[in-house]
Amino acid sequence: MAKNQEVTQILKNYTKGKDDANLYPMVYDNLHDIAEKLYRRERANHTLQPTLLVNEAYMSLVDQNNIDWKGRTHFFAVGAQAIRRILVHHARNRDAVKRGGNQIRVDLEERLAFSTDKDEVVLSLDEALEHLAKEHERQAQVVEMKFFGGMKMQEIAEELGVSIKTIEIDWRVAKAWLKRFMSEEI
Amino acid sequence: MSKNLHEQSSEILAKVIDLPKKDALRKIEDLCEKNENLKSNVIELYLDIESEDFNKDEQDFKPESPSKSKIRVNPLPTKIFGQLRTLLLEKKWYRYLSLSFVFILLIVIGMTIRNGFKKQLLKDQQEKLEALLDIQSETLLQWMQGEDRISNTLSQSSEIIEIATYIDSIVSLDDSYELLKKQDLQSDIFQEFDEIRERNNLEGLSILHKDDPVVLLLSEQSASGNGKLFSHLELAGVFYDYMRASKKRGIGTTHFPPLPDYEILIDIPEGLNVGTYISFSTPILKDSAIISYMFTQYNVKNKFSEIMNNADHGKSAKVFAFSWDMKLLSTDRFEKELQQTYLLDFDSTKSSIQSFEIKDPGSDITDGSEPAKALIDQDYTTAMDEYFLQTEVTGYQDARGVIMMPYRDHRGVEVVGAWAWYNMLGFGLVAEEDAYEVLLSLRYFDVALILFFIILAILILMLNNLNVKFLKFGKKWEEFEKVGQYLLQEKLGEGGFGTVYKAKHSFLKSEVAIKLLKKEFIGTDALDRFEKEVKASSSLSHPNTIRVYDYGTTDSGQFYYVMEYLSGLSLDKVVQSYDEFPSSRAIYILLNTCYSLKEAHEKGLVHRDIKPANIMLCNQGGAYDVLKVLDFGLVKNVDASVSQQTQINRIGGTPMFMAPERLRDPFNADQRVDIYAIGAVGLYIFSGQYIVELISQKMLSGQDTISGGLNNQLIQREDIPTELKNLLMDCVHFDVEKRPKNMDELIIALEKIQEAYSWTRKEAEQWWKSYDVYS
Repeated sequence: MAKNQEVTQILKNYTKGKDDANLYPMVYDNLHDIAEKLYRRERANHTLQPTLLVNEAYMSLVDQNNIDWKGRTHFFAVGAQAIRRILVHHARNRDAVKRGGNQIRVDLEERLAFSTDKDEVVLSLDEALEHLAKEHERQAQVVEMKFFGGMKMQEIAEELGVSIKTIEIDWRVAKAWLKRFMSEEI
Repeated sequence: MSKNLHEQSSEILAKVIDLPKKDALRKIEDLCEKNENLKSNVIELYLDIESEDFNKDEQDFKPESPSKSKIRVNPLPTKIFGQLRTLLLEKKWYRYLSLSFVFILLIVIGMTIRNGFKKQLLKDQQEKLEALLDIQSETLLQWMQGEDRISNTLSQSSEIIEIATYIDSIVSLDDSYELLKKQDLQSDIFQEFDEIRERNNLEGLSILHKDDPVVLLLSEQSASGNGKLFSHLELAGVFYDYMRASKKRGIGTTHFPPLPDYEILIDIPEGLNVGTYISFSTPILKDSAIISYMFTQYNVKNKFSEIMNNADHGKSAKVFAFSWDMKLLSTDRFEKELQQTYLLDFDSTKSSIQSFEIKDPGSDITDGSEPAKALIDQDYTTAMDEYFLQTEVTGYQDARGVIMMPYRDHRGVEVVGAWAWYNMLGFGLVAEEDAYEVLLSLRYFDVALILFFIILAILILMLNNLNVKFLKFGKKWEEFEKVGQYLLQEKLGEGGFGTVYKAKHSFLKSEVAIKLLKKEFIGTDALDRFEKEVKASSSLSHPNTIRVYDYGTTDSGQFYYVMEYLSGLSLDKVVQSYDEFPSSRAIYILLNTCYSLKEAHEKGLVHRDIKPANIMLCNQGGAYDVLKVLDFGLVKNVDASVSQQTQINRIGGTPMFMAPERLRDPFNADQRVDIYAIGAVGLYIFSGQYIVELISQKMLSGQDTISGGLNNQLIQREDIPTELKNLLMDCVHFDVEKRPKNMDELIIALEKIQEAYSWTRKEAEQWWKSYDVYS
């Protein structure tokens, strides 16, 4: 079966948790390939938003005629996770060291772009998200989906099976928490 | 509790996040009770969120910042403009006031432009008149210099010297001039004098005594062309004064201003041409001694007037010479008209020269009418007045002036003019043009301007009406926003038949949902049917049926009906949230749907479009999982009167949940189509798939046919009670007769199953809490 059909099929009969194990590696590999190509070019002025990257992966991996919105949302949720990992790995490989003393400010509203100077932002945000996940898993997921996957509030709500109001509050509280965490940590 | 600090904080924050800051802080205090650790954590987070919201609000005014909620972007200028527009245009009187203001403003601007135009026009005219005077005076001067030269040459000719010597000899013999008088003028020597005059084309030639004021010999062109000779004519005082003055200036030709003959001669002999003459005098020298003076004379009505009249142009522009005592010295351009007036005694032969003083008759007399003012009351024309006043002051120095304020000339016609007094020439010139002609282009301009204002006024009136329409547009928008007593707030969804909005009652502020039917239904008989159905469904009062409160048509003719606003989820979404839908909840949902339908069926209404999207689960005032059936009887019976496109929908209902017999007969309104749909919904709940899909999958994989033992395989889950499976399969039976007969039967069956599988309030609450976590 072509990869494209495989992914589509998984998404169609998706059950949370169970299929992630199958889907995730494929999405990750695809995104990784795209990202590597980008990094190799590595031009300071050439940036690509991770959310666009996920979209690109979606286009290449999924047969769009044969999938509904639910499948798309799942894909983007998984894609967000993969993007996060790719960015973190890349940053680690570059030996980006968190510099002490400099307060890192992350504007979560701003879309993250692939550029080397954002490495430390990625690393500290990743760490903060791991801490947040221990405190409040859903909030960490919301941030991941929104920040790394560029998903809309409604999509996140549907993916997580909660109300949109819940997601909105999660997002606001999580932002405040992350801000505090990241400034305290340094 | 197992909840960690951050989870607790999140819950508290969710409760206060939308409150005003003061209330929020107080509530945090209450909710944290005595847990100081929690409180400080919550407050820190709260302040962060609050400050970020504040910043975001500020940013919202910048239109370029992305990811904004569209509603908030209302730039201030637009708001001010909108308010201004409302203030200026919406109130009737303000509107009239502001439109009149605009109109008056435009008139003022128009008048300013007109005045600028007039000013420029008059300036041009002024320059023209002045140039005219300069050219005329220069032309006259050149003519006179030419005459000077002729006189000079003639005076030095031997013939003239000979005649002068001869006459001088006669006069010197008898200083009483008796001898001269006795001379026979027909003698050769005198006849030769006449010939000299004629040869030189002179109107008058004479020889004057070198000391006495006497004309010794005068030759004049007669009317018949023959010369006439006169001797010994005594000069008048005026002329003699000029004569003496010119003598003082020394030798060479001098000229005299135009004078009437009665000012030249004391006695005018019979046969002498009367008129006004411009004269040139040259001394006749013999052996460097003056023996007498030679005079050449021209009647101003001939050459002199001709030069003047060269400047006539247009319909009324004229130049004339005037004497020191303010009489005409050249033929008036309008002499013929003047001859029809009292000025020239209604005498069509009388010359305008020296005939009258240049005075303002007070009214237009060119039509021969009497002047408005009696002769004695008449004043000099403004040009003459100015000349008189100025030369009085300067003592007959050169002077000039321009009068652009229209005044009456001697014809009584309004003119603008320029005048100049040339002291050396002894006369003045006036250039005048009728004000009417000068300002004719201004008149055209005025007509254009008035036309423009009329059009403008019409346009403004139209604009006013347009504004009314504009405002009506605004009102339409408002109507759109306000339906009946309700204010539309946000769009909740859109279907094939209409759009559903969330709305608020304008007084009660209670929330409702309003369905606005699409415009293509306006004027069709479908509308009547809708109305009937809305009436019928509003009679349904079961709590599991959505309430229909009201219906009507908007001013624009759109049909709408008002329903209960439900805050909840469609069954569709709830199904998706589960991996495995609990049987108890499924039974609960099916049963409640049946309760709703029971009432309807009893009242003869068939829903015909039961589907997960039309079943809502609500969290109503703390009661969880309140079920509501929507869209009652409203989607059916849309008939062919609607356009082709919507005919597709005329069957009504969603095919996935539609009983097969309805495919054959779209107007089938048997209660059992609803029973079929309930079965299909039940299957959907458990499988997340549509019955059609389920069947086709089974058939494609070569398994049993529909009639076979499909039942158990359709729903693969083991935890579902068999009775329920069987009941659902009965409901979706293609044979109508094998389905449960009516709702009562279905309800009884379901209730029986429910006894073992009850969906408790607690379970419902738990689900809702996990869905709407911060509720």
